Amino acid sequence: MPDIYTSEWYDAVRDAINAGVGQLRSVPEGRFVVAVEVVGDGVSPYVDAATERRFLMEIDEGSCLWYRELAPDEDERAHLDGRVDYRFRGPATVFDEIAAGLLDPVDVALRGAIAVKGDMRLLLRNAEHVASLLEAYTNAVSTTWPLGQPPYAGAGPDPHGSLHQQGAATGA
Amino acid sequence: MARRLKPPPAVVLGQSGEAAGMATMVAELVRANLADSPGRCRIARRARGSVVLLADDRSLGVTVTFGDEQVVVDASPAADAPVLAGPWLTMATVCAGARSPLAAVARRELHVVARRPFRALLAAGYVLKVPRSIGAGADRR
Repeated sequence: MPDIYTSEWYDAVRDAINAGVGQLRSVPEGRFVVAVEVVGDGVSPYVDAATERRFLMEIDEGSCLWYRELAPDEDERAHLDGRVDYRFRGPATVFDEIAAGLLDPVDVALRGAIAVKGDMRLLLRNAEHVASLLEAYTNAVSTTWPLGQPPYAGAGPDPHGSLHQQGAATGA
Repeated sequence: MARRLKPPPAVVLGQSGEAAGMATMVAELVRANLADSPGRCRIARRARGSVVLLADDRSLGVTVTFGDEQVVVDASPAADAPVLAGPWLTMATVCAGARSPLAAVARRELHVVARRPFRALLAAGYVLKVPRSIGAGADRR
């Protein structure tokens, strides 16, 4: 089982995404680039407070072509022909709890704990595909947590308020 | 002399609430549709009243209100407006024009609680629906 946020873990997530895409009735046409920004919140041990980890991923006809983690001062445009189509940004603890299956990623996005930017028309039109991507991130990979597993003791009983009301992932 | 086109109605986020992310998504969807479609702008200008979009599998809803030259999206459901309710995934695909709302209602995947004014519900259905020309997926069936 890969450690969270390692190359092996992202390879496993990518493989899970691509396996899930084969089950879909339709996939988005063309390529698009997704940026994920995981912001240190002083609670997650995987991202230092006041820093962030940034990832890029390219999707082509529904499948994940590649992903990469950017160095702290690296310009994302160096890896892109065009622009980022979708950007997901939120606190590290929320991302960790999604990866651990404690939070439903769709619920998190609808409640605004993770901000989503991009063309909402394409995002909603391809909601089934997005749900499949999130399902891979949430439930398809067995993850190990070398620095401790969420929920984190320092985060209090419910650091994200009503986010936990819906329980664990519901499969979108 | 060329007639000057009126700008699309403004789309603004209103009161905060539990469904802040959903409100932002719906507001951006409406903003993009109005920017592309004079027909949707006309309907949005004429419509009056509020509609609740309720993702009932997540107990989250937003209120879309049509008023003078603006559409307001609040991050919580209004108590006295007509409601279009259903699972989020169904709601998203219907809003995006990927599925027919009538078919979804007929199959009881979506349901309507039609408090007055009902016309706002019809207006919202049209204004929210993404034009077919936008990003149709590749059908693999």
